[in-house]
Amino acid sequence: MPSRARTAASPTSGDDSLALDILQGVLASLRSDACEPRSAAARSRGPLPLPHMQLVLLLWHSLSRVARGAFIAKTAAAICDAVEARPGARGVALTRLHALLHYSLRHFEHVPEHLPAQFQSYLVAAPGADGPTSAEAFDAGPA
Amino acid sequence: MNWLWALAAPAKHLSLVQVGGSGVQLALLHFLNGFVLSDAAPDALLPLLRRHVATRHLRAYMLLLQFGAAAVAPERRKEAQLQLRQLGFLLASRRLLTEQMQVGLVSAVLQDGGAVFLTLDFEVLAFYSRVLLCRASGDAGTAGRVSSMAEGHAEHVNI
Repeated sequence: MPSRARTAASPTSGDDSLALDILQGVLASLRSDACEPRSAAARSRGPLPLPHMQLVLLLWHSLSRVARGAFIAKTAAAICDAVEARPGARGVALTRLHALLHYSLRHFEHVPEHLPAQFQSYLVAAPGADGPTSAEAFDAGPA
Repeated sequence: MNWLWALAAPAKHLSLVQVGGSGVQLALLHFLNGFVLSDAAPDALLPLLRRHVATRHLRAYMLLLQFGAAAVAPERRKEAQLQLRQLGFLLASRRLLTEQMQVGLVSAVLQDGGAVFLTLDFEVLAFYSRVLLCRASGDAGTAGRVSSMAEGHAEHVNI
């Protein structure tokens, strides 16, 4: 990752740089999808698998208050960018950003009880299981 | 990994010759998980492993994680997948991966943008999860928030 991105996303030295890089990358992708929903990358993206998004959220929870707050600010900025780029437009990618913002504001202080348990259940699911169904994708889950 | 084969010699009941063919990989996984990385392994082995596990081993493991299970007979596929998971858990929880290896692991995925992280093969994602959660649990600043989850992996993976 470019050092500029890491610096911008790393308000405190105690935060894991890898977690910050992943969050930064995921947010950049979601922002890009929201700004350019007709791009090949955005169109090829199906429902976001729930375990993948849950890991992203758990990484966010592992950060310091300052870093979590900075991520919320960046998410809000990404929403503003997307709305400015396409005034009046709605779309899945923009909804994902809203869901991310909603979740992070709602659960800023504490990890929801169900999140670690649910994520662990995916990690230990029997091999060969297809993982979450499309109905369990992040877009359809509770924000 | 010649030193591993040398270590394997005393474990006569793990006859690699008898297993043969594609089963060799599975026998090696059993050996790594059950002898080299288990709690019963000699204490002196862990520092030795930390010194010798290299990026090429991690790359080989990632390839096995993605394609290894498909290469064994269908009736043993589930077992292979479980053993591969167990190896990933042990690699992460025994802190066998250096900081450089962990950074390389994540950087390789992020090269094509963060969205790649949202579309990883599930077994690969599970390995990343274990590495990242073990990092988080080892950090005093984040221990209170996610450590219980990282520790909980041991019980479940060992089942």
